[in-house]
Amino acid sequence: MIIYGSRGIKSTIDTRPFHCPQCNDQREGNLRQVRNFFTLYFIPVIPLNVAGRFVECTTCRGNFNEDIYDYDPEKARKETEEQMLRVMILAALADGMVDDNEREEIKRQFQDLAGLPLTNDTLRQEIDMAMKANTNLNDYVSGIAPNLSNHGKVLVVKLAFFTMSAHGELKTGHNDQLSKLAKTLSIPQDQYMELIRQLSEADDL
Amino acid sequence: MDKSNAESFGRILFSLTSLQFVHALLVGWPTGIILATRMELVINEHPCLIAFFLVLLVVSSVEWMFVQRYCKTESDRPYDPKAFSVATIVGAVILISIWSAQFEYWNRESGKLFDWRSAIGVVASLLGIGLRASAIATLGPSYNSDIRVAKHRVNRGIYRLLKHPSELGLVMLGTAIPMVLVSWKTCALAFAILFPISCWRVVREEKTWNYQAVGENLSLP
Repeated sequence: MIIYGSRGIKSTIDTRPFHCPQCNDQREGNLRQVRNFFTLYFIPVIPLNVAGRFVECTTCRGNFNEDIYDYDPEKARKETEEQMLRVMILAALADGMVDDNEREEIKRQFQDLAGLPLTNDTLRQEIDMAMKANTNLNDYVSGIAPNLSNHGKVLVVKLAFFTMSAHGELKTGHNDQLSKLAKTLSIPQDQYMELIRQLSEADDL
Repeated sequence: MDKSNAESFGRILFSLTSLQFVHALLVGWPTGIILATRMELVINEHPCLIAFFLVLLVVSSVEWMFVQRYCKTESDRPYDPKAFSVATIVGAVILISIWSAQFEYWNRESGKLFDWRSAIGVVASLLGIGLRASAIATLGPSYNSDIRVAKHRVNRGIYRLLKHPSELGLVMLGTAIPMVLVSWKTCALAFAILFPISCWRVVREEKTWNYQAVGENLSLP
């Protein structure tokens, strides 16, 4: 296509700071636009459609979706912690109430996850909110599942498992609920079984 | 011809005419300026010049029609940006040689009505575009200005006879178009630039094939 052709030409239309997932730090990000041009002898003559936009990190040169500008790692971390706390509370509420063993397990798991202790008041408020919301673990997880990574899905099963087994062994009803949870999270059955085996071994130690 | 076919044909004709108008302005401005400033010139007395513009018209139309017919794809990210940049140089060299050939022609103005060397230029240009058109028809959507290799080497159509028909066609076109105006200096200069570039592209493509043959996913420096 020497004479007539088209090619995409990149231009920087904005530069803003953003959290680069590759550098895992705050960086300058160039908002790059690719516009197709009609070319004559490879010389861009007529601008055509915009083929796409992306954000390019000025440090690592990594390319990301434009949504990356809105990504706040601190906000995302807090959201995840809140979601996981809700998962544990709903797992504990599977039998209708949250007893002391379950409360202690939730507090222990939350501290492992967030690095900060969970106060009794906060836990009580969260339990009240969960009871008023009148939802169950499976329905709640189906709402957050699309945004979870594989790591996040495993974390949900792990937290639900440890909360449900706060008394020691899992009850039959708990097993069914965890199995249902794995289906909601689209975890293949064989991987789910292996995960439960590993969690049971860890719990026995 | 039914109505939809007629409409489609009309659209193609309109696109081609518009493209040719822009193309004519871009390539023909040196002659345009000379004709505008020297009113005594009669274009009929310059058959080489008429042949030159006809060749450009045919070459650009044939390439456009074959691309539309066989490999109309959205432009995407270059696989080999260096090869793509070199292709840009090739485009610029051909365009500059088209301008230079016209300046050389008007500077010379031998007064000769027809030159047999011009006829050789016409034939070589048509052969060149023939090679490129065959390559486009054979490769289909895989045909592009970049260097990228498919899973299997094409060994059909024109590729049964030549390994790199498109590159050969390009050098022939770049050299033969100035020859239509018997502009030897431009012709020699275009060949001196285009031939090494084409050789470089051929060698690079062969290297890419060889890397793929040994299963290495390497990017060329």
